[in-house]
Amino acid sequence: MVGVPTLPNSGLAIGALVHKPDRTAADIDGFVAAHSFPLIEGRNCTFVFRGAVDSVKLRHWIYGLASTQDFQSLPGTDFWYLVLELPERSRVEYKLEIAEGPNQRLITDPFNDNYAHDPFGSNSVVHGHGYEVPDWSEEDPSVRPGMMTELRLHSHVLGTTKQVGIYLPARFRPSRRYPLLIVHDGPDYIRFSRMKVVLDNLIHRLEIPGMIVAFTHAEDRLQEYAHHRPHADFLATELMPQLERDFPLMKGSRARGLVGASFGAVAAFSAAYHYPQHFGRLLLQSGSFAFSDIGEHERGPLFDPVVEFINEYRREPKAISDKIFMSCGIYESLIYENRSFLPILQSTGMDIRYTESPDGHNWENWRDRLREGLSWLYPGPLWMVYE
Amino acid sequence: MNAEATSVADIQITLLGPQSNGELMGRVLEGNTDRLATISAGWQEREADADELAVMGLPADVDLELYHRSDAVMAADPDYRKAHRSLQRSLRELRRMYNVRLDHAMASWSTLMDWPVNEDLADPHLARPEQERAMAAVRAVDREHADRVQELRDEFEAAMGLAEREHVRRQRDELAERMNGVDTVVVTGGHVVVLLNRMRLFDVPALLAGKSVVACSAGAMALAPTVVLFHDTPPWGPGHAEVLEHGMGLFDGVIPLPDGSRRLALSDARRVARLAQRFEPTPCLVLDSNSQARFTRGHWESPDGVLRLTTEGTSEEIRQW
Repeated sequence: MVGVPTLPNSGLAIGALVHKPDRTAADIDGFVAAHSFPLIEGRNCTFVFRGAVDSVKLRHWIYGLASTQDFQSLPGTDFWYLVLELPERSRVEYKLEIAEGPNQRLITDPFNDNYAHDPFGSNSVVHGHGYEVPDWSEEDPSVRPGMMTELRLHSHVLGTTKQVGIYLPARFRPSRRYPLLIVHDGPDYIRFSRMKVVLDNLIHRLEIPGMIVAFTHAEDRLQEYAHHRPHADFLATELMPQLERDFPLMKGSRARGLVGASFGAVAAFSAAYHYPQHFGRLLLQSGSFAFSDIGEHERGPLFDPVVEFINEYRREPKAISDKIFMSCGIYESLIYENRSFLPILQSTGMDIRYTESPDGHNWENWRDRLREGLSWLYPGPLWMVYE
Repeated sequence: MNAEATSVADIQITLLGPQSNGELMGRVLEGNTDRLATISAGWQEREADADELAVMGLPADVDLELYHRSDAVMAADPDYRKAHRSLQRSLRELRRMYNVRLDHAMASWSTLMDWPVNEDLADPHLARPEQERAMAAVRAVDREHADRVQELRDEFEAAMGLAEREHVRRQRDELAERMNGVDTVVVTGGHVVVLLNRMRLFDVPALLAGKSVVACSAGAMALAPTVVLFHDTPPWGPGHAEVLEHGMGLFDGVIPLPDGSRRLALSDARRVARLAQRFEPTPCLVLDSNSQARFTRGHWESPDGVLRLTTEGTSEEIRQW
């Protein structure tokens, strides 16, 4: 578990500094200069901060822990520190909450150059022992890149014009037919989960086949993605036929997939529910599958249609797709909902894979699961092609 | 090996790995591209693509276009197309069953190979015969699968009367004519099953008789006596190498492992040893982009050296065998 270890006799570098007799300012400077922070020592992680402030707290989004952890100061100095126990391969996003008199500010960690970005800004990121950014998520100049183009279509059911980013794989040939993936929150998947780079790499490595990917975007995702029938109609009766007209797509539900994270996962699942056996592959990441067994749910009114939908599905589960890959971080509150949803889905006979990771509700967690999800839903010709 | 395969004594074969530029190909061909033909059916829709051939240092307009010829046969001969698809479905199903057997056989072998030496026993090496039997079981699964695939293919070819079918015969005749004046045939990589199917359909071994052959990646695998599929770190599954089927059998004495340095965990001694032991005494050769293996005058050689997997779990450079 993530937690605060006791410092004495810990064998940690910070312990030697804290317990050093006759410690001087030069000792602190030397300690700071000698290490990079956060300092990972086995399962322990030491954060530091320097500044003449009143308090320093670590603000994180780890479900199950208090949302802030207090730093301790070395008396008479501007040096603050905090040691957390961090399970192996963990990835945690955080900020520092600094208090100076009546003022409080939330900042990224000045000692940490590792950031994660999302639609709300940037967070500092700490990687537990053993975590590595997957090499297949990094740009590789030797990889043939796919091409992005754009499709504009007017949606009658949504009453708006939609712009959809279209990914065409490297070596795209109009004479070949391709599977299709429709991604919710498409621009965010491209920007924050590097999905274009991931697709380029996985296709190049033959781990997934060349595929056409439609990156969709919702103007009001909290409405459109919350089990909203017009959204499902848009995908199945407007976008799909347009894509089939414009691009060489393989026939059949097994060659059609939906991807979504958080509310986007609800939107994907809901569309498959409204159009059963239309989308044969679902990749659902940290789905907001909130439900209530009894009484009111506590997630707020935005979740009302979601809870109603999931409750209804839990009462009468049915097969709506062929294969579903689900993932969720163990540091996010939705882990409970996702774990609860798993046996319900399995009971329908659909082929389900579920994976958990020591990570939170964020785009890099979703990025890190793309390889196993996509390659399971769409196995590439890895075993057969030797260029 | 294919019973009707051209004798290895008749033919000079050069095996290469993936070719992302024309440097090695240029050296191998020594500028002799006037009497050249290419087979790039493994590239499927990209077959005969002039740009892709140029990357490998190969000329355009000399491709035998087996992929497109196969499409033409399929379009003109619906009975053949139907039977071909049915065969492919059966082969895919057979592969799934083979993998069930292989997983168990590999697990047993692997467990026994790690069995500790027990000094308390009268024979501390009691496990050795069990290890050998477990390995023999893996080899039996491989062999039986390859033989079974061959049975299905033979039955298919006999039932279809392949050589006598009008559209097949016409294409074969055209190809035979195209081969007049050709000295060297380059077979590129790509999808190994696609390549094998087209080679069988058009009886490519007969076309290659007396020619010099340069075969890259999947091309080398398809012409081998046994087609071994491999990848140590696939996103899913244990990554056991698989025997796909008997290859065209145009040569003996090599299991080609194209792009092996990338596809195999060469630093994992156990995996390397298992692979080498499984196919011993045939050497497993790592055919990277800069390596070649050449069969000429009755023996194999590699002018710049090529990596062979050893049964001890290492890879060693060899130049002749």
